[in-house]
Amino acid sequence: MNEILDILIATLLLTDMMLLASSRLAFCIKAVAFQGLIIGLMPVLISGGGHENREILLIAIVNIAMKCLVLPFLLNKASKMAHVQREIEPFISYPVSIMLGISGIAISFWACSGIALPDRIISDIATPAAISMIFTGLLLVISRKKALTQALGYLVFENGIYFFGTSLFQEHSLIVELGILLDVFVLIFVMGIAVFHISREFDHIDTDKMQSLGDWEEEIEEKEGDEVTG
Amino acid sequence: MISASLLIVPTIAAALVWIINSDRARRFLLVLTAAVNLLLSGASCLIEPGELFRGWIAPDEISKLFFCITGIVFLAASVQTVKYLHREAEKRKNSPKKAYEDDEMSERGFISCLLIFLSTMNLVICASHTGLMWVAIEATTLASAPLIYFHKNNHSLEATWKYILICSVGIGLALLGNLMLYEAMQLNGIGTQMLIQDIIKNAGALNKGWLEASFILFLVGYGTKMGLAPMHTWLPDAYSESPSTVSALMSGALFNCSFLGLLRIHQICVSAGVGDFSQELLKIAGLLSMGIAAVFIIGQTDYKRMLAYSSVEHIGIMAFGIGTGGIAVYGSLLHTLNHSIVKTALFLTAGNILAAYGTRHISDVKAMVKEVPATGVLWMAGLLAICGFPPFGTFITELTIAKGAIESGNYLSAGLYIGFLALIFAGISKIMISMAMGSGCLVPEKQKSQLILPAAVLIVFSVILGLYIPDWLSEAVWQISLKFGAQ
Repeated sequence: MNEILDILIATLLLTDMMLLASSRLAFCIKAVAFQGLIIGLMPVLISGGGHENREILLIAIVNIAMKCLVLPFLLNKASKMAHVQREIEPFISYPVSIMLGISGIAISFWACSGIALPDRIISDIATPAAISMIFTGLLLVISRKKALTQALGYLVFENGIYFFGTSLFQEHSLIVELGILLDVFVLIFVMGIAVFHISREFDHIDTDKMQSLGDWEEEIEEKEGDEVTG
Repeated sequence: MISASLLIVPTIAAALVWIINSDRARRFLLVLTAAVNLLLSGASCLIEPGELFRGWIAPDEISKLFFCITGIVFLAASVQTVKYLHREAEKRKNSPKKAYEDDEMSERGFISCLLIFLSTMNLVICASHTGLMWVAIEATTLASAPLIYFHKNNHSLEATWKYILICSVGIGLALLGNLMLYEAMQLNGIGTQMLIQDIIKNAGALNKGWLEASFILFLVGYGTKMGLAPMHTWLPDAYSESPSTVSALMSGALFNCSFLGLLRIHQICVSAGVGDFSQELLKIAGLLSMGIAAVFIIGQTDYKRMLAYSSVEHIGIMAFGIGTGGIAVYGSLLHTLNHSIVKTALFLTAGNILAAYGTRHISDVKAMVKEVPATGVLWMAGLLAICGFPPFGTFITELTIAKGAIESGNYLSAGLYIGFLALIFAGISKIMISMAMGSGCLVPEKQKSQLILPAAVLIVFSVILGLYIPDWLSEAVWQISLKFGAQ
């Protein structure tokens, strides 16, 4: 049992790396959906057969349906409507991203070795993997230019937090779980609409071109000038 | 009963908006709901509002205070919204550009989002389960995002995107804080239900390390939503690009909701005996916010951004007050009321200035006292109030916090607090004088008609609070502050 879990967790770490290395959006969306599948299955695998099984199963089904089907569908639709297929020239280049991701994994393993974790933890590598996943998500949010990739990064971040909860094997109540899922769903929905509007308004979804708001006028004018020439 | 209706009434009204076909009826419904909401909030102070869902929703004393603040702010903002929507509709009718087909749609959506926003804020205030509170705070972000985007241009889009992304990531960290709080309970075998009252009862048995870690994450998470520096970067953009009534709601009501989220966690820390740790962090974050606000207010060129930075300053003041402890906690809690009233009045007035002059540049607005006297006077009064000038309520609360800081014996932080206040006063008063006085800018006659009633009432209210605080109010606030580390 534990070996299967360890393999699944290792797969999660690998998908993190793939996300950091890949520029194709369609692939990234698939990778995030795959992560959602693993993370959704995890509580079912851990619980095996308990008296609360039905509730866990229900949460797992809603979770997988949301993260593997609905959200990827929304993101795919947004990417089609906004005519974007790939991320071009992120703020942090792909090799550097991967290096940062690997150091993130190393740091989270090192940090978790010092914390008093509860005995009922599911696997030794679960908590550090969850923390490194949160780190990967944040890295994607800050290092990518396209609005859609940032939304994907947020999903990885959220998956990481969810996995962190699972790794400590805590049972949140049904309502809270569903509430969190609903929030994430609406968030991605709103983001999808925003991406569509950004592409209509700016003819691209590069958020680094969004620089018209600032505090110093000289700075704003300079940037606007840049946009005309560049 | 009352807590249920505070949640349900706005939600039903939000649904009704999609059925009603007349513009006028929809706007009337908005104001009506706001008035009912304020009545219900007032009633909650007199009659016990009652618990729901096995104590998941259980308003306590501080909820009642925050219900009332939200109710007042929402009513003022919705009256102004009616005028605003009317003006926008006129503008669209007169503009040569072909009107969008979805105009009516967007007004429906706007009113409906406003009402859902109110309902989610009420949910934050009365939630007594940390998980439910997290869900509600994230829901306020989602309900308010379409409001910021009302103008549908690239500036408002940029502001909306920043708002959604930064706040969601921030609130995501607060979710992590929730999990760590849960861990702090689990390690020492305290129940599995995260009801705040239960946690506080067993607070002594919480694992200190995990609790401290969770407080840091909550501070960053809910701090992002409040606009605590250095997580405030979305705030000036969102406040300046959204319609003024929305900025008023965000800084007068939403702001308090996220503050309440943080306060509840602070309360847990205080009862668990790590109050010193959380106070220290709140104090540092508060002073940092005030410092950053001071830097950006001096030399600010856009008056709505100036107000936004002033909100950063005031969240700093409140966090500093809570962090200082003692009588400053009392000052801080009363300051939430005073600040909300004054800041709402200011944002509503800023909307009027924008309508009259058609610009947000400070340098293009002159001679307000001569051109639009009522708005000009309100603007000056509001700015004096926000700087903490007597006879406004903010004067008393800022002074109380200063007194608490000096009594606590930490003269460095007290000195910094007073220094930043002075700097900000200098920055704001320069802007105020240049906008109110002078000559030159002529305002076209047809742009002079303005709705000043809501802002005027709020300013008068602030003066009353400055001259006389009723005993029952100060007693109630004092009782609340005892729970948050006042001695």
